[in-house]
Amino acid sequence: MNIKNKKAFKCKECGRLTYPRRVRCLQCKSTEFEEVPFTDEGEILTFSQLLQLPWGIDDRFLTFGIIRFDNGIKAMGRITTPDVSVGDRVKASWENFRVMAGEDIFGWVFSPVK
Amino acid sequence: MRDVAILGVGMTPFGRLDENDLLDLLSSASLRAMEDAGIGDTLIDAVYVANMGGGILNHQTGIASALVDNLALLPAAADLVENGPASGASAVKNGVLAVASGYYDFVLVVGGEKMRDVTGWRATDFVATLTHPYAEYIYGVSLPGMAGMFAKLYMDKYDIKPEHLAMVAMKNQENGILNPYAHIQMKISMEGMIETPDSIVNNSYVAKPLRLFDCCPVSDGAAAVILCPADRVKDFGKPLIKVAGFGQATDTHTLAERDDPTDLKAVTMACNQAYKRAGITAKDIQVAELHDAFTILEIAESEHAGLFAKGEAKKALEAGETKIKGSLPINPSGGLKARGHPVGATGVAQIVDLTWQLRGEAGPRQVENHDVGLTVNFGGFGNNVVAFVLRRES
Ligand SMILES: [Zn+2]
Repeated sequence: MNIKNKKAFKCKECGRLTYPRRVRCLQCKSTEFEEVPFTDEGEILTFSQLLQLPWGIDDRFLTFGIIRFDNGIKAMGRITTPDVSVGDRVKASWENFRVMAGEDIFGWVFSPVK
Repeated sequence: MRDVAILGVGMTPFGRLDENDLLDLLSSASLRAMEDAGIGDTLIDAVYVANMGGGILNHQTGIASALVDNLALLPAAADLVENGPASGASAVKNGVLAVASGYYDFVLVVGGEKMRDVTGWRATDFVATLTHPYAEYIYGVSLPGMAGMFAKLYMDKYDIKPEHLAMVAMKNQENGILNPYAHIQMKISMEGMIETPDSIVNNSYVAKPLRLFDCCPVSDGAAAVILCPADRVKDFGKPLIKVAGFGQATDTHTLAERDDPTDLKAVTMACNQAYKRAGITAKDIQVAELHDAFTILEIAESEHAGLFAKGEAKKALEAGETKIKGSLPINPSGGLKARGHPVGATGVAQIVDLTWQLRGEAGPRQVENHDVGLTVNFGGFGNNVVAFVLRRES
């Protein structure tokens, strides 16, 4: 599931980007997609620092947000620090950031570009 | 299609109800609605149960079948409706369609949730399972987290201050004190919530920029309505409260995929459908029960429902217009913030409360103008929204 999750797609008909995978394009209903690579960096669209954590997370707090990669793909992920603002540039890396029920969980971790 | 009316309503108090299991709560609310309707139970053709977490929280499935047995409503048809936090209004919608079609005459709809069987952290995790499993849930995002990301953008866009959120919390908790069914019965002050040494302790951040008092409690409870054809209401000597219209709309599962994450499109579409069916516009709404799981949502929903222009709800709050005695009361019941939010029960409870308002039976929280009212039940993070317009007729 984690490998599948790392892929973003572009509709072959209309060019709309989609992440994660879906079977039909939201815009033109086509079922034909091609894989699009993520870019190395992006921009924070919004974020929140969570201080009351759900069950299964051992951290004291965590920060996550929605990032727009430079090629337009949008994705949620962890942000390494709460000390960020909307519009900040971040570097994206795909990391093993959590263990759930004994399984390594991979996902996006974003850190501010110095 | 036949006109459908709400013949009877009832609910349990909301709160931490350790003595009652899920079936007790559903049964109690159902009996209260049946008693209020004044009907013999042999008349009930079908039962729709709204519940989100029976399987996960209470280790019980097939709850609708268990309920008709417990209530001695056999052999009535019985179904479970699960639509996240909008399960309640979705179940009512199914009941309305069943009566409107002419297939059934008398339908019981009951929503309930027993959330305090588990710790708060488990309950938060349970509700978070409605987020996208790979693109959202794994990151530890909770519904407060989704609301925090939304609030950040909405507050920046429309210059909404923490004080405006606190005004929603104060208003709804003040209303809750007047509602014997409300989970939270406590008055709060601005000083206790914002920018004072006390507030740092009393009102800590949950998901920035949202704090503790911006979030609804985790509650147990159930609420029920009896629906019937509008022309049968006079047989029971009850006031005629018609389902004037409903609307339902969906939006993308992930918040990231919305072109504009501050635009709660499903709220606007659901409300507009409901207004159109009812033959009214937003201007005709006199009282509303909105889904304030987070204070920011009361503000945003009131604007997306067209009750105020975008960015104007904060002015209405400042002027007190949305208080019980104001020109457009919002959440006179206390809303989710004070009444509580047993997820499967909420959409039904909103309709129960609005029915009491339209009948003029809301006691100390009664609003002055009560002919037409709106409910908005917000599922997911706005990805499945159900709105109702109810109208009092003579
Ligand atoms: Zn397309």
